[in-house]
Amino acid sequence: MKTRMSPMAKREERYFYLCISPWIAGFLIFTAGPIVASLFFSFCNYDVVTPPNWVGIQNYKRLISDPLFWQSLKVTSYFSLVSVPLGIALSLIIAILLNQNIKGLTWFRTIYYMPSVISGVAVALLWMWIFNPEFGVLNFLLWKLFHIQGPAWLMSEEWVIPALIIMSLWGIGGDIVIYLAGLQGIPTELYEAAEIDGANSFNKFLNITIPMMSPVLLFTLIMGIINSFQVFTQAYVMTRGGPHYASLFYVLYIYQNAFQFFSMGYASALSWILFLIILALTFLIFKSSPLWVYYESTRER
Amino acid sequence: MVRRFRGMCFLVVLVIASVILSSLVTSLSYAEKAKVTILWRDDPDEVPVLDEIIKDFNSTHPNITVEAIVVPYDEYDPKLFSMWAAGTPPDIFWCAAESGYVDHAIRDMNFTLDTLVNRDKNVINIKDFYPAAIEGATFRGDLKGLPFAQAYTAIFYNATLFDDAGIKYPTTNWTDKNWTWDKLVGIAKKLTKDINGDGKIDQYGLLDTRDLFEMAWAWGGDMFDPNVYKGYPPEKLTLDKPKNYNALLTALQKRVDLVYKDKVSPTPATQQVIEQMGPPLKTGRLGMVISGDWSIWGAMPKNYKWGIGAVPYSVPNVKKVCLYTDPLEIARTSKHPNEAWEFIKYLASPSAQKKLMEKTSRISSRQSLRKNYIEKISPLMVNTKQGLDQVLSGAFKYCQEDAEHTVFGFYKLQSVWTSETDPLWLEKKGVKEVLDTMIVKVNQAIEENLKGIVVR
Repeated sequence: MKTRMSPMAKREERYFYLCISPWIAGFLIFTAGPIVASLFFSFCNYDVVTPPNWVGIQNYKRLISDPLFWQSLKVTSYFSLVSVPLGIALSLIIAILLNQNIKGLTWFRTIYYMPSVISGVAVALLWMWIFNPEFGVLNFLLWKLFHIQGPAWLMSEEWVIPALIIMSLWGIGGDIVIYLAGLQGIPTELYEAAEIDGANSFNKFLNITIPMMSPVLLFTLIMGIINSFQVFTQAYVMTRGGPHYASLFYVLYIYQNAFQFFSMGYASALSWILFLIILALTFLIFKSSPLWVYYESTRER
Repeated sequence: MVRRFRGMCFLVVLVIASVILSSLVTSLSYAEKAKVTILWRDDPDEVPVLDEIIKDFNSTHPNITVEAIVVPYDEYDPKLFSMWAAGTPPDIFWCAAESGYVDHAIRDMNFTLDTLVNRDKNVINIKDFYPAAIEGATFRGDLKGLPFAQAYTAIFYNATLFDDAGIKYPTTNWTDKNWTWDKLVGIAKKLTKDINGDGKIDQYGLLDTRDLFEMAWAWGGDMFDPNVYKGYPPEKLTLDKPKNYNALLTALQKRVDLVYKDKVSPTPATQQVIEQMGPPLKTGRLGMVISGDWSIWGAMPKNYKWGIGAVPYSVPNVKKVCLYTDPLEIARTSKHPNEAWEFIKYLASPSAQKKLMEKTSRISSRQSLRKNYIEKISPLMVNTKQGLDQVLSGAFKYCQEDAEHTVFGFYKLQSVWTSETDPLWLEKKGVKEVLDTMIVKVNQAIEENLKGIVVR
């Protein structure tokens, strides 16, 4: 049975709603509203200017037979599948190195985090120069150090996604900081106990560090997948989806349809499919998490 | 305690009420003054002049307030369309970005201006506008915008590089039968050089930036039916006709040859490298460029001399290049169409046009101001004033309005054919194979475009 609220609690509740009302209004108008509207538009022919007209599931049907939809899905999955695990592995390794008791740790932490602070467009322009096949520093180094004639990177169908994956590693600073915090939260007595039992560094890493870090890994994995499916700036600024659709990321394709071709209905349908994909992936990862994520506070029954 | 809560509620209501009241008061004070908005692109040259013209206009028209909304180029169309969707369209807009006035007209976004032009014919003097410019603002016989500026196609060249190679400058005569594509390529070869002797070309002879539909024109074909340019949506490409198909096939082959056979043009990769240093012609690494006159917009480097020439014949007796007209349109749902027209008239008047030409690199749509334009650019050029006049007369005579402005849903079609022809520059596929696939894909895009609208 619910107990009656005291006058004090009631008043507090009223204040709560009063104070949070700007956020509720903002959420309903600027977030929930457009989401609901886009669901409606996804069943319409809508060019933004003329009123939408209902076409049923035509947009979803078109999607299945649209080779560019599949191409954008392929490009995005390829990027996601390589860049997310690679980013996690690399940032974990760097975090562990930074977690050793060394001098100037804060300096290193700052240096590794710094790239994450710079805006997406500036980073994109910087990397365009790095990848420049003729003047770029990357091909220069490849030639000087290994005598390898570097590929055309962003202008090559085969190398454009690998190039963007390399570039995505630039932003791992954010994950490093999270991992560092996680690593520093692991009680040292676990390592000490393992050492007494004769465990070597690798055993300690596999049996203590990884399980203790698994909740953090779960978080970065989910965020990484969501972010990788929403890649836009790099493709928009650096390649415009080319050459020959080789970097046509999913969100770029949505943008093109919505704001360049003014097929807002089709773009809405694409967006809802993206939403369902991310939802399904997140759901799968969460469902699988009891198998590999260890929470200290939950006891096994 | 209840009182305190009431007090807080009262305060919130008071704040909201005062916000509403103050906005009411402001809008009331505007009520007698018609507020006209104009949507412009964020061009560092154009915006200050526009501001100046608006200031002059506002001070001489006490009942009208013109206000410019300036957005980056990439956001121009999204802004225009979303303002429209919100029910507050800009009163005046133009095809500053990817959508053309035909895209607007098919969606019934712009007024027909013929009545207004006739009413004010003494002030407007429509005969003063280039006929091609008026045609480039006409939708199925109706004038949909008043042109305020043009861009024209020609050959722009670095005269210093010609001098260094000891070559004669390109002719300014558009009907010179001897000025052919092969001659052009011949000159380009002499201008292409490996200056530092590292085996790589540092200086290219020619960059032809013309789009596919312009290439088809130049080689005597067409990608679209003549009606399409009048504002009727395309139903398919006209490349099923052998004449058109062969024209584009040859044109594409010649373009590929420029890069891989004659080696006088940079590969797209190299071109991007050059473009990262600035507009290609201005870098000094390029002899000639066939493009719109934006190649010579802004300050030209002083260490080189420059020139303008006629575009050569690709095939005998065929000459058609692209003209780019910027017509100012009035939103059909504008609350102040008359006031908007007043401002358009002002902006298209000779005095405002002169100001615009003095401070930007744009050429006016008014023929009477061509001499002012020549006066302005001739100190930079090796051409004589007569030569410049000859180039300009040809550029405005042997031309047709940019398909981006006149073909419905052009941007989507262009993005499809640009992507589909990428394999040509990656040397992956032959011209015929690429062209055949491209035709199928563009026709699909045309179909999608048609499904997307209620065709008027």
